[in-house]
Amino acid sequence: MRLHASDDEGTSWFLSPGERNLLLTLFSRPMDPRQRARLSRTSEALEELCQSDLAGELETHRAEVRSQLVVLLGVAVSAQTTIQTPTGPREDSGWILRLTSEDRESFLQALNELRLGAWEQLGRPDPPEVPDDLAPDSPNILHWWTLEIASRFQTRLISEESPE
Amino acid sequence: MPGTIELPTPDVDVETDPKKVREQEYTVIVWDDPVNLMPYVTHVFQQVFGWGREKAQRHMLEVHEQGRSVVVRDSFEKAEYYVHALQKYSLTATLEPAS
Repeated sequence: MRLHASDDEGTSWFLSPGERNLLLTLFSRPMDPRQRARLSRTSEALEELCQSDLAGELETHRAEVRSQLVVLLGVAVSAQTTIQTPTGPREDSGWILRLTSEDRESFLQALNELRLGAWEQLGRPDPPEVPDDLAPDSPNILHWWTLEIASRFQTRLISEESPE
Repeated sequence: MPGTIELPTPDVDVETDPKKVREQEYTVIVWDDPVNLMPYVTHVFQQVFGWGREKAQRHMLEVHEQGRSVVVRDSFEKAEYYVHALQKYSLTATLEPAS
């Protein structure tokens, strides 16, 4: 995934066919259950007063964002592009994903949601790094894979948007 | 004043009286967690508060190094709005009554 073009209305991103499939797979999977977000740590009364609205709003928002991204990935336009490699220019075929600023934020939120869902399923490891002794048949493989892949896309979206 | 009945002040818990909840000032706190990426947290602060990168990074580092950062002190409505906005990005944010 790399930045293809940028203008006042948003950004276009070039995705390889594999990247598009990965994202479609990630966003089409059922959401991992997440611990409920709290509104307050010190005030139980405040928590009681406002919690139901917050929980409902977040749940609805997250489901909408994922559906919206699946649609955006579905309408991505197939494209050919030339990339520069150490051995010279190379033709690449893939997909152009057009994102408004709002879409980009939704994309980042959805990727982070995937990361946090996977991390919670893994038992909230600190630091969240793949253990050296992870067995190939571990039931946690899918969660580590989700955490790693979503992090890569998220980092790419942020670093391309605001280079140091 | 003659004929006026002095009504007793009801003994109401400040935090459960919706009127008082809304009159009080609140702080929005972002808490450290091991999972959100540092550039992501900086990005979220820039987006939600419209801060420049330097200020956003300063608060991100405060969260990372001190475990928390107070990012807003405002009315209940505004504090609640910001907590919702931060939690949409899955940051660990809460609102607390300002002391």
